[in-house]
Amino acid sequence: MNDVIYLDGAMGTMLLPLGMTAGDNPSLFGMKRPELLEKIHMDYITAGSRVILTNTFSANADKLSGSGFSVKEVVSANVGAAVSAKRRAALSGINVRVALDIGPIGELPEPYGSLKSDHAYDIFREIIIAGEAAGADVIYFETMSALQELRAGILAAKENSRLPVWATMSFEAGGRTFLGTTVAAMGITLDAMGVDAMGFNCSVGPGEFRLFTRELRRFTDRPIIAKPNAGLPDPVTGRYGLNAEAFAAQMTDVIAEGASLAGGCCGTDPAYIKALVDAQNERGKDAPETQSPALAKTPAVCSAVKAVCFDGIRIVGERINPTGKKRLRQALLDGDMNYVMNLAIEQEEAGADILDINVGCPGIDEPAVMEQVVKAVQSVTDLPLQIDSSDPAAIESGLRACCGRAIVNSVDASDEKLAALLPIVKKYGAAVVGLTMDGSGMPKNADERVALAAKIVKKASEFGIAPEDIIIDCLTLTAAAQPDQTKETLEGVRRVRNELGVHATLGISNISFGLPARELLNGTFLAQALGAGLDFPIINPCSRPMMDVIAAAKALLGEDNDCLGFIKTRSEQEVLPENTKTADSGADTYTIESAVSKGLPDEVSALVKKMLAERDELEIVNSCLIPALDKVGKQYESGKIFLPQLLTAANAACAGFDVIKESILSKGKSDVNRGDIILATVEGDIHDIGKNIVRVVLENYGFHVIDLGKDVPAQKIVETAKEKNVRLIGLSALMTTTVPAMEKTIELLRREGHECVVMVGGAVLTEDYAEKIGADFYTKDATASVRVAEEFFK
Amino acid sequence: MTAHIKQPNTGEVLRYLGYRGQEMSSQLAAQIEACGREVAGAAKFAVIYKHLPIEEISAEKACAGDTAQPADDPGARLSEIFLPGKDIAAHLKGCSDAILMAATLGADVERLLLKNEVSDMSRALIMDACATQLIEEYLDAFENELRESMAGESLYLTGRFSPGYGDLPIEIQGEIAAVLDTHRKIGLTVSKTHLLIPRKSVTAVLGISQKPVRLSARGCDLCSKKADCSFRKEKRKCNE
Repeated sequence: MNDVIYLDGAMGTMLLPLGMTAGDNPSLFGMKRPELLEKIHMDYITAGSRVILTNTFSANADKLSGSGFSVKEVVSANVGAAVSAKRRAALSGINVRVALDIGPIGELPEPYGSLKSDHAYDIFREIIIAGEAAGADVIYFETMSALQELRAGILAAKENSRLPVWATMSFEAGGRTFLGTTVAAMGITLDAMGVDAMGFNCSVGPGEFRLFTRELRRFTDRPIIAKPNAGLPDPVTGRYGLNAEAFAAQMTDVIAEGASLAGGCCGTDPAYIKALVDAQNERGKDAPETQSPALAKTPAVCSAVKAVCFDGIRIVGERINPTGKKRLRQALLDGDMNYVMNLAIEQEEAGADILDINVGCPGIDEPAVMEQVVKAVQSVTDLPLQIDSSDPAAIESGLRACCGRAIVNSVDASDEKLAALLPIVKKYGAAVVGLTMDGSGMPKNADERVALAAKIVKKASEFGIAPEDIIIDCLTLTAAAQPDQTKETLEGVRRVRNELGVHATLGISNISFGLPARELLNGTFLAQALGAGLDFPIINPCSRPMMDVIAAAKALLGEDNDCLGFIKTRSEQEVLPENTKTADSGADTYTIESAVSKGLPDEVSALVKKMLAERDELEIVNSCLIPALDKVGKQYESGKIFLPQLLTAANAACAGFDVIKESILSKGKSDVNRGDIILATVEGDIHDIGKNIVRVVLENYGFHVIDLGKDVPAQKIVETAKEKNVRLIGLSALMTTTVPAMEKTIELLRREGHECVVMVGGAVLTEDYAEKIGADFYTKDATASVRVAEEFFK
Repeated sequence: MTAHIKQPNTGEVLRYLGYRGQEMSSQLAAQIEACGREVAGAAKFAVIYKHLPIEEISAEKACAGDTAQPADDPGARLSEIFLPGKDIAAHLKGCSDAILMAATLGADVERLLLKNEVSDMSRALIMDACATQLIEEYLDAFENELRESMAGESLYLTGRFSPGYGDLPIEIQGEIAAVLDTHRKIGLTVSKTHLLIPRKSVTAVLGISQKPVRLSARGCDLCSKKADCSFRKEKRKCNE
């Protein structure tokens, strides 16, 4: 049997009968009554607890603001009570550890709420420094539901203290936290970050904890913590369902499943801990010495919500990479995250498992843009990321921002690169792509590829990075230029997989550069490489032929249970051609005006493509697209159509504008731009939908919108306006409580002397209100904002 | 507990979207239905409530003469929270106890909305309306269950009254969340600007009375949307 270490039970439950009321901050209550706290700690120690949690769950700067006490004072007093209990226990020869308890800050992290990772980091650091100084032995995060927030805490702990770090999150009965983090995603992330013990607390009872523990053991070999509630509370009385004996009996199963740090949460008290200890002692006498069988840890990467295990073909989406893509490069330079986020959404919907993120292009602050893109992409997709850069600073910045466990793409076999990157890979616990090249140029054959891969594996092992977390890239060389290299690449893949126990990745499309029928060559090469053991193909998942090859290969390689997935997708695809009419045929029956008003994006883009053969881009914009939009705008104003119809029309027009933009960029001309406009939802407001509607419509009229997003501080708006010299600014606020932030923004713009026109909109605003807060225009809806913009840029 | 709702009422969703009988394509109608199902599929309705005795209701000063004067500090004092304002005092008048509640559709709906705001505004707008309607339906179902169980004990329940209605300030959201421990219990938090996050969430108070209560339709004066109601801007009412 495992040696179990006993933790304590609830603290809040113990304080309520002593005079604290619901809604009070327990840390403030406790600091005024240290003798009560010490007694509770002693009761737990007497019951058998050997790790006691300090009464600091809510002792953070946000929750203490306005209390008149500093974090340091509150933390010191509460930790002090636990430390004196520890000293008293030591007098009787009992060795107790004091765990600095840290709960969630109270606001949800971005993109749900306003909590920024940097702010979370600072708040946690303050508690950690005070707690360590006051004598804590362990840093203990608990009741976390947001993995992003917990990550900030763990980084703060690792970078500001040498104490061990333990962490538990709260899972609902289905095995997900309120924010959707799964047990697997928590396990993969915390194990990668080097947390010393991890597990679960609160929310449900020990029955569910047994299943959570079993799942977690697949992803970590570190000690597992179980601190469940005493069953579920009665909705009317609030009393928990399990008594101490029943709790202890069910905990026996959780411990048998592999939890080695056991205690209780809501509804438990010292009697529960005593029953737990007694039940284990009882069992220990009779039970034979059985050790739960050690499981091999499953290598995997994850986002906050989704795990992707390294046990089969995993598609890496390649489209977020500006090399050779003018439109994306422009978007990155402009900070146009919507374009990038859409690339992520499209790839996820097309079936990618992992997204490669590369933002390298001339004139860009790569570390800063990498952070921005990683956050933006993670706000709209569930996929794990592969951070792709040749700049170690950009890689670190991407890893730091990335929630979950990522892949680093890439290190090569040169000593400098290995020395620069492996410590970063290790620090963030990432998986890593190793390129089979070094300073001396490209490898000439399979032997050289294997030798370089072996060097990477050896160096990585010195940092404790295992071969199953390494993905070797044997380099796809252009077949037209180096025809003898393709088979060397394939042989390299086969050998590194077999001889080194690593995974293999290849960028596929480079193979066909300069040749006709590229898709055929790419598909054939992909099939050959998958046959050789390639398991991380880097492709465009929106390419149907490539995805077909992967689906077929999975079926043939036994990765598709009885080929059922293949059969299903094929039968769906075969039905399609009869039911869907192609956009080209539609182009004959519609005009741009009718296709826009009916909201048919494919038809609009086909029509625009056709017109481009004869007409200039600007002419199409001015004589077709804008008049079509004007017409639906008027219909909307007169009540002939309602808002969803206006937006579907705008969306269809947008497809036309995309064609125009591509065409202009491909000719090396500058974009259609009728003028720059900044849009932002003001600080404190997270209701973004109104502003987003305005953005879509303004963009369709050819205005260049710099969308700063939601919850935007006044300072940021002013800085951007000055830096980019933008003279028209649109602000949105939905709530009466956030209009003051709008007023403040306008005030700051005026005070800083930036000459500009401000238009405002949002549910609570009126003409009068807008005037009162100093705005130049009140725009009641999206079409009104277009009129202001047209007038302004006339 | 409240059964799972497969889809919000389309007629009500259309009302939120400002629909006034315009000609609508079959694709749009189908899209609205599909959005409703998708939102309902992502929703994880969670509710927490406490049954609290009402200690004091101060609405009016003792009458000196014919006209009643408003109290200096009107409001309803529940055992764990003071709810300020004359309107909540009026709502709970004659009640001995109150139900303080909070509910949310959860973070998955939030995520779905955020994603669609990027990829397709039209869908995002429709989904937003679907989510607004969906939580109303869940709350109605929850309220009905509560009302039925009260009826068994010959107790009567008033309608829901939320921060932002009348003069009950939305600044009270944080305190309600703290009393109900909503972050831990249902994953609901309150921002520094008093917004509920996830956005599709509601807090409310219902009174419990020994005598039958009249369940009147809330007038505009007591509606949290009074200031920004698109119906009122067009001189119409939402319940017409």
